Amino acid sequence: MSGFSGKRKFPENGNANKNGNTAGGKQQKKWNDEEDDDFDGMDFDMGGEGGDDKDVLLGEGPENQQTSVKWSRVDPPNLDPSADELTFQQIDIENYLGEPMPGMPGPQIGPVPIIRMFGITMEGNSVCCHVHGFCPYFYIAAPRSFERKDCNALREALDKKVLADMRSNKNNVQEAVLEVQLVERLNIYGYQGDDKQRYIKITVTVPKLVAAAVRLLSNQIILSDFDFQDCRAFESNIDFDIRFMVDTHVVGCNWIELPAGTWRIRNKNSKPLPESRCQIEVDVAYDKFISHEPEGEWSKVAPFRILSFDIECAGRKGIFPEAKMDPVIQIANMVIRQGDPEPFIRNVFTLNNCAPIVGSEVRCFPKETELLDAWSSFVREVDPDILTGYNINNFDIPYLLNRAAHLKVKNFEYLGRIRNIRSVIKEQVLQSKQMGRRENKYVNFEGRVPFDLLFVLLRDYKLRSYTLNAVSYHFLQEQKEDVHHSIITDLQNGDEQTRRRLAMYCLKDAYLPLRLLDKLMSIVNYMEMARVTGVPLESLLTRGQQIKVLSQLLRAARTKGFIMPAYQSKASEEQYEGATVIEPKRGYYADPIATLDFASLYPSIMIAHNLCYTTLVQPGMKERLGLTDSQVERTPANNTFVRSEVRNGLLPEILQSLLAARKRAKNDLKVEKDPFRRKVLDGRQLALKISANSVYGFTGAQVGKLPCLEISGSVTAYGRTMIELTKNEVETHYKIANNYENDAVVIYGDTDSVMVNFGVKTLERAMELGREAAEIVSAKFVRPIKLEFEKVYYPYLLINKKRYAGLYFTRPETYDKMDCKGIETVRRDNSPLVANLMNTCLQKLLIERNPDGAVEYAKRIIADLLCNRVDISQLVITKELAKTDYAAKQAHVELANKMKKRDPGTAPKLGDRVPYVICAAAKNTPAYMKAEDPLYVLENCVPIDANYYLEQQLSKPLLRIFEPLLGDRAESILLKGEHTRTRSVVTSKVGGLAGFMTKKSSCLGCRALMPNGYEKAALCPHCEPRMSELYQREIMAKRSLEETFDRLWTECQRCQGSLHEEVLCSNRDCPIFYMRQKIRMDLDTQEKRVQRFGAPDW
Amino acid sequence: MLSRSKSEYEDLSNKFRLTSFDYHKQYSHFYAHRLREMTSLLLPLAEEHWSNKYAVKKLCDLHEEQTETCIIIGTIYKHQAHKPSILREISEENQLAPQPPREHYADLEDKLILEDELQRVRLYGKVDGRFMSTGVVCAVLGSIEEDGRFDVEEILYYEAGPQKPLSNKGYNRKLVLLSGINCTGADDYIDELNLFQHWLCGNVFGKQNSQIVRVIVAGNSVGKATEESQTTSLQPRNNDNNGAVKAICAIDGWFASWSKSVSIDIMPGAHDPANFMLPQQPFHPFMFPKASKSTSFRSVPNPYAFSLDNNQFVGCSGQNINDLLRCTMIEKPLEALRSTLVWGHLAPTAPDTLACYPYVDTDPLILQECPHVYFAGNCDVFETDLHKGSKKQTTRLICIPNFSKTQSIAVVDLDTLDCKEIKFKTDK
Repeated sequence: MSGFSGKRKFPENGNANKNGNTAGGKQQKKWNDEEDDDFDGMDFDMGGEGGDDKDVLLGEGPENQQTSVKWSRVDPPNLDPSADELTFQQIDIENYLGEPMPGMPGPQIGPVPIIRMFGITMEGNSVCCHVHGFCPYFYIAAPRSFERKDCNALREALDKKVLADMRSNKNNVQEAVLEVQLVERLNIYGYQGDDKQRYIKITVTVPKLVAAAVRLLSNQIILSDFDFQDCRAFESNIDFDIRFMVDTHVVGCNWIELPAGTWRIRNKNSKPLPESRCQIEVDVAYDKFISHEPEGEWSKVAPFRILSFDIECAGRKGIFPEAKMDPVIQIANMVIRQGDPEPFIRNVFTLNNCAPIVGSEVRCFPKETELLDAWSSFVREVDPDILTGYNINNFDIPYLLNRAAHLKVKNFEYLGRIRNIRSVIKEQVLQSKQMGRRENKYVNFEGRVPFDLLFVLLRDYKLRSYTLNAVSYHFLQEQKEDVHHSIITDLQNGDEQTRRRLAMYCLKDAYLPLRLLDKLMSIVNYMEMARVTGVPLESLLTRGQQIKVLSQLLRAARTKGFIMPAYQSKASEEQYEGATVIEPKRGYYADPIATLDFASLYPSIMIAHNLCYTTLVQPGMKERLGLTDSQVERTPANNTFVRSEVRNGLLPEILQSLLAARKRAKNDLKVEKDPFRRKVLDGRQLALKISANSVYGFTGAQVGKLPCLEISGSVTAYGRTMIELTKNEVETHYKIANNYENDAVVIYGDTDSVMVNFGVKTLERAMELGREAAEIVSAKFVRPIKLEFEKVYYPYLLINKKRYAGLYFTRPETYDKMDCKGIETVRRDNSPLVANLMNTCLQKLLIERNPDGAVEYAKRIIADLLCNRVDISQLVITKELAKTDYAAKQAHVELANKMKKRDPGTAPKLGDRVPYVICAAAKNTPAYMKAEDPLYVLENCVPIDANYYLEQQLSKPLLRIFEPLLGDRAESILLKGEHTRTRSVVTSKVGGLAGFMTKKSSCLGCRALMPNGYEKAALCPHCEPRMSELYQREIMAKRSLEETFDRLWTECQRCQGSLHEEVLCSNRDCPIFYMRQKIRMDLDTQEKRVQRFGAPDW
Repeated sequence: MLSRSKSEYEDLSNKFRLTSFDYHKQYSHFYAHRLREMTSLLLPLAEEHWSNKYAVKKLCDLHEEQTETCIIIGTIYKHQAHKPSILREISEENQLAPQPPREHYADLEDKLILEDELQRVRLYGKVDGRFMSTGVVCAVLGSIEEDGRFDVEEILYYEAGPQKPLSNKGYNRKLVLLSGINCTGADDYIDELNLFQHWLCGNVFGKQNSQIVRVIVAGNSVGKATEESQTTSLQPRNNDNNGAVKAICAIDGWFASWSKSVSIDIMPGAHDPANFMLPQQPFHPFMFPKASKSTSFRSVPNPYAFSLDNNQFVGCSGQNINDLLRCTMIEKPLEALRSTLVWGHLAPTAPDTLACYPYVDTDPLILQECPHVYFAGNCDVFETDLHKGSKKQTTRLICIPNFSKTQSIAVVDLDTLDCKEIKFKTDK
């Protein structure tokens, strides 16, 4: 369904949650507002895990069927657990409650938590591995008098309390608290010397009892001799799956080896019986398997099966499809093996017969229930590891499940890998600074990972539009035909050929996500991210950044005996100062500007100054522990940390290993030849970079797992001083007095880079000085902080803080790119005119180095705008119709209502994106009344409100880039000059006075009204002698229109992939959509002018 | 005044003349009609050629499991990565360093696709994509492969159909073909044109020129307007073209003097002040105030079809050939010209890369009847060949040289179909 913008819900403005910068130099802000850095926003989950409604989930699923050799996986080898090892790459990890297995470690009375790992062998066989014996636990600080002998009493007392506390013991838990141990650990938060403290480690049977036990310990009297109420809980807020992975050294998507003799296989004679749909199902103890680090040989990737699919439903005119009403008419599927170039299964399931499609299998069903049933069996038989598509999570999957439930299709909902578990829909709310608040639907597919391409794009790319069409065009330079949803039902109700046409779109919509995933290397990159940060693949798309850092921190802490306090997150007003910005010296610099960058600044600062939870010296601790001044370091933010001689921080260690791993990956990348291995390595180094940068954010996230503003505040404080220091060093060293060409000036500095004007004229010299300066200044800093010379901007247009543009050179010969920061080119509430004009002006300024040309160009476009010569597609503004009852009147909502009155069938529906242009209207008409459908405007010659576009759209961004050049005169030159005097407006065919006007013919030469007797002629008597010339002028005008007409309409014919079928596409995002309509009108008009000269008869 | 041989002339170009225009049609109808009409022409040929051994099928009847050999009639579509695309040109993302449009964009990676009324299939096997073009309708013998491609064994073209026997008068009649005068209004090639005029009127080389019955000017009488720096601007602007106006005045003078002694038909060409789409419509009479006074001067459409003494002549001002050279790996204009004859279509690339009027239920560019003389104007050099079709059709192929480049013309003997080049180079 991805073609139909109607089905998609997107946030209207991806940046809405960005903090606005307050005026002035000091910025009060949260830990991150850098657009250009790789710090990702923090987030927290709200709601989510929809409880353990096992009744909903559990049922009796159907057997797998084998119907096609092409569909099924290759048969697994005959395995002998005593002699063979079993190796597989796991892709999904989850846990469930089950009965203990004799011979396995852990409690022997049920229920016990069992971990399930799903994966694939190198041969492509699916594996389900039950891991036994691992139980959840947490710590509390031990009361002073608590001794080892008290452990058992506590266990028994707590056990009773917990059991009594359970409202309903659905799982029939008989033993809640398994073990209480007195252990010695270190609190990760704050330096307290190296002496370990005593903690009580409490192991419980079932994960959800952790929270209950913590609660009871803090608000009830468990043992009369001890008061546990003030004992802080540690690591009680760690997900059980993460706990398991940390403790067993399993990272996301790594390889698991079960050595011979350690595992058991399940088959139809075994006890227990297999419960999954995987080909190989085994059991192993949690301490018996080998988890391979994803390095060297074990960085390989198994041939995962990726199923991409798309559904079409036949909606009613003007209404968003509802599962209770509107049938699913087609489902297209593509299955590809990870690493293969093309899918090996392509098929489409259709309701009613459909003509064959070469290269794809068409399966027709007379009844919708049969279609759904067959598709569900298909998924089970193909047994995909990853499910993808476009917006499948929020549309396709829930729609299918709801529709199947409505039609009572038996067994449809058994789509996961555990035979008796249904896939059900849950609502999930994710709040993140990176993406804002969004409500998502989540469907469980035990063992299969839903990997919705739309989620990937929303997370990783900032785009003007997120429709599949726009995205394909952006990344693949490929359009797809967009059929308006009002036509779908007609195609379905036609014959087998029209349904075939529909199937072709559907197949394309299933195919494009695969192409995009391949092009963007998303799966490889996400797998590498999972490996680097140690979290399961799926959580990368469904959860935020914190879990990634948490996973790494837990791993590092565990090896050193640290434990983490369970932090009760609370929003606080406490703020710290953000990164510094050296006040920009605005202007257009025609000379080369060298840029000095701190490489991985924040990670480097944390390493260099040993900033960590474990090194933080809290107030009073220095004296208590008797630390000398040389043992501690006071940060510019007035916090104290011990130096690395006293204790190496965990965060610095994590960062060091991340940076070192990144260096290794980059080195490997340099020598690697195999394209697929290169992709993996590149994904890896990127994942490592992003991970390193997100550590800082973790410490600053106030609504997080373990915020520590002392760390994040110190990091930015160091950053500020370093920028200042760099500025001073550069400006004192590079002076005429020291035999340099000129006094260097730092014209701007921001977060991790400093722009220097050395006052030299050539790129070579600027690069030379830049390199030298980087070395001189780097020497003043603590390792590994390093200032690097990276690039020269030449020329450079500095508009304001975080707003600049420049031609980016890394070598003197040619430029690498045009680099623009903070200049509106992609904002969606702007018309393309703005983006295009800005782009061209910047190109003229920077690439052609022609400021006058840029001014002239801007003037020309303004003149074109005022004279109605701008193509309408340039003026279209698009907004999503998110809800109809906006408090304030909004242009697109008003327009949608207006269109509904004209034609309810094609009017935009809730969720559609509404394109509109602003039209001229009587004075004081509010802007929201002036919006009009671009097609209506074209067809009825409605005049455009050029002033709106000039004043509301163009003027601000234009003045912004031209003010550094023209100063205060910018406005008068650009917006008030000669070029704005001539205006022309089309005569509307509708509204106002249109009905009262009569058209009189005028001379084609001089536009004078035709005198009597000449009404039918082309020219007035005065112009008649110039007949040949004036005729040629008209024919030449027709000529260029004809050329454009042919090019536009043949383009559409090609794009839709058929010569003999009519173009139906109504993709309004397409740059030529309006043009091709306009050219028809223009040609008609022009042809009429030519005709006035009479036919060329001989 | 020279007394000229007589020849019976008939204008067969009405199909190229448009009387009403409708730009609200799409090109699918045009393609669909071409396929329909060509299918009806090709069907009997295919049955005869393959002796009814194989069934004619539709792609939608084919299944990958059954690999029986059959005949499919469809339109060729050549998928070309480098084909000029207006979408690419105006896309906002590609503004940086725009790719200049490629002069030749055929590539070995081009994919050949056959499309019938409903479906498409990739072609491979005995078919050479390098010399194929979008828009050709043909009958293909072969079988569907498991991967969904169609393995071609043989391809049958219409070859412009049957031909009437050449009528032979027994006395010498000659036809003069020239093109590409590229007059700019300045005195370019004035000597050469003078010489040509003298020759035409029999003032030089004696009176053999009384045999000339007609002169065809195949396009580009007016020189290419000096290229304005056309940015891919989204705004149409009015373009005044004073150069062309002057040039038309000048050329009017030449035509007026020539038409005093012989019939002249002038066709519009690629950069003449005429409409852009094929078929280009005749110039308006008042563009040639002097020449149009004479009844022996007239403007005709491009393409142009006529008969002389019942022998058929068809030709174009060369846009069709130029476009083919751009999108295929055919190197010589003569071979391109021959290909269009074999394919039975004047300009298969129209409308795909060659602008063409959006016809709905006719395709006048189909060569239903094999001509005796088939020409293309504005070629770099003169080339000619006597093409023999598989049904014993004999066609004189002529690449008319571009006068402004070669200062030469082509002359055809209407009895023998012999053709030669005559040069009017003067030493300056």
